[in-house]
Amino acid sequence: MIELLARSFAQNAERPAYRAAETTLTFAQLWQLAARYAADLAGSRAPVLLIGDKEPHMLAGILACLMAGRPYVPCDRSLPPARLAAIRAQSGAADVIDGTTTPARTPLTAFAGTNADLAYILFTSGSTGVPKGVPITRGNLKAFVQRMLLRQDALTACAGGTILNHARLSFDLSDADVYFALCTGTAFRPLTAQELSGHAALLPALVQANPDAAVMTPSFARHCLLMPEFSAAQLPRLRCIFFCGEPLTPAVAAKLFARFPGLRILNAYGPTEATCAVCASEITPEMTAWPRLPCGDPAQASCEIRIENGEIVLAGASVFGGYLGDPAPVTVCRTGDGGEIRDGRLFCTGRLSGYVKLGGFRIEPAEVRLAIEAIPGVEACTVTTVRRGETVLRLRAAVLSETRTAAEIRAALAERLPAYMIPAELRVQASPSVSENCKLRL
Amino acid sequence: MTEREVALLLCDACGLEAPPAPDEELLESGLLDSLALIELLAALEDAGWQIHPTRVERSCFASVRSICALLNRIKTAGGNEA
Repeated sequence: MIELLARSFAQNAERPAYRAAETTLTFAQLWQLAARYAADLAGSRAPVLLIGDKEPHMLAGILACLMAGRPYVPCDRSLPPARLAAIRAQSGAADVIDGTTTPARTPLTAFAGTNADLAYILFTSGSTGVPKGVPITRGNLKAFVQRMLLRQDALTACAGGTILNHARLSFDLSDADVYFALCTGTAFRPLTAQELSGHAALLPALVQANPDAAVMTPSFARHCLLMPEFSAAQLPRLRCIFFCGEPLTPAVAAKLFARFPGLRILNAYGPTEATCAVCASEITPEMTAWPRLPCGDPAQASCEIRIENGEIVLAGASVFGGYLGDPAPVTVCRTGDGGEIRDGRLFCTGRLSGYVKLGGFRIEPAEVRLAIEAIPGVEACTVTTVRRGETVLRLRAAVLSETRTAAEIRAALAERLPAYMIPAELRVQASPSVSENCKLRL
Repeated sequence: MTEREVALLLCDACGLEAPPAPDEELLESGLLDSLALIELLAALEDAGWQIHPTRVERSCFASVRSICALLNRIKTAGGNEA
């Protein structure tokens, strides 16, 4: 993996690698910064927490860990301290890069790490009430990059320009923009938390970024499409959008083609357990008349894709070896996604069980329920999803408590869960109510 | 649009159990969170109203009444665009 990166960095030394509103780093500068961080990391193989949003130290930290042969654990700056502590404890992380300290003066030159070693550990929502660690090896990552990412010619046509990042680095959707940038000499332009805080901040950021390609969730595209200014007139270079994380609807694809004539759209699919995405389909304007869009070509995937009892099952190069702390090794990944393969194309038909996707975020309703039930004064709780068709609109929590208010429960949850996991609808009842047909109802 | 029409549109777009009362607080209560707001704006767009989110205060969506007032302001200004 590091050889792949080293080649790309050497070929593109003077080109911009990182481009935020106020800071630009060339590939040579980013490599140097990373190697300095890596010098501080040598001598241990334990995981490293990377704490931040998308500042230069986060990108340099990713590279530094690959150089030092240590898995990185990206943690968003907004994480409640209790959750960060849980992640630190579960991962066994021994060092932290958070941008507050200056790295070593002398860069590391002897790199470590084999394909079997971990590249990173991402923590997702866990159904038992604690975050679940998904370890991904350098071999998994290389398979994603070589067999999936670099084979999308709609995307590689944008190499050397600027790629826009939307997802937090603690979500593996960001693997697509981070590693595309680092492996093809393309400038990484992150959207910062401040720029994502509302449309008024977002629009000038998009215009300033002037990206050639972008990686995002369909929910974020819908958010951008609310602005009539999100169009080829204001973003003249945008020629490719890579989607993953939730279903892309024909309606959203059609709106994008209308706003950006000549745009190429890639609809990718894959769980965190299989390294960002395992396959992708290029969507054409004709496909927007179909009831559902394809999400990949199994023949051009980073692993084997099968359908078993209507469920998408993955095995092979980009699939992880098992959850952190779980002794049972994994040989296949049962995704919990329904799917079918027609005419050599994969179609995802929705979640069958387990976690739900809310605006692209992965949430186990059980984790939310357990967090609410852990609050003193809460007697019982149910957490359900409010849907319109296949789309999850929000979480709804019904809480039985005689002493707690909704505001108090929200405040308690904010100390434990990331903001996106806190139910938008939260109602508290002092006693269970009885419905018309006399069934006890919370 | 009347308040009743806005309430029904909101109810449908955001998966609410019942149309909210005209003065019912939508933003603070979490009924209209950021994802639901996308659904509402998309539904208004389908109904022919073009709203520029960069030019409109979030507080305009605090209740059915304030949403209606926003739409009336747009109409009075001579078009379906804000």
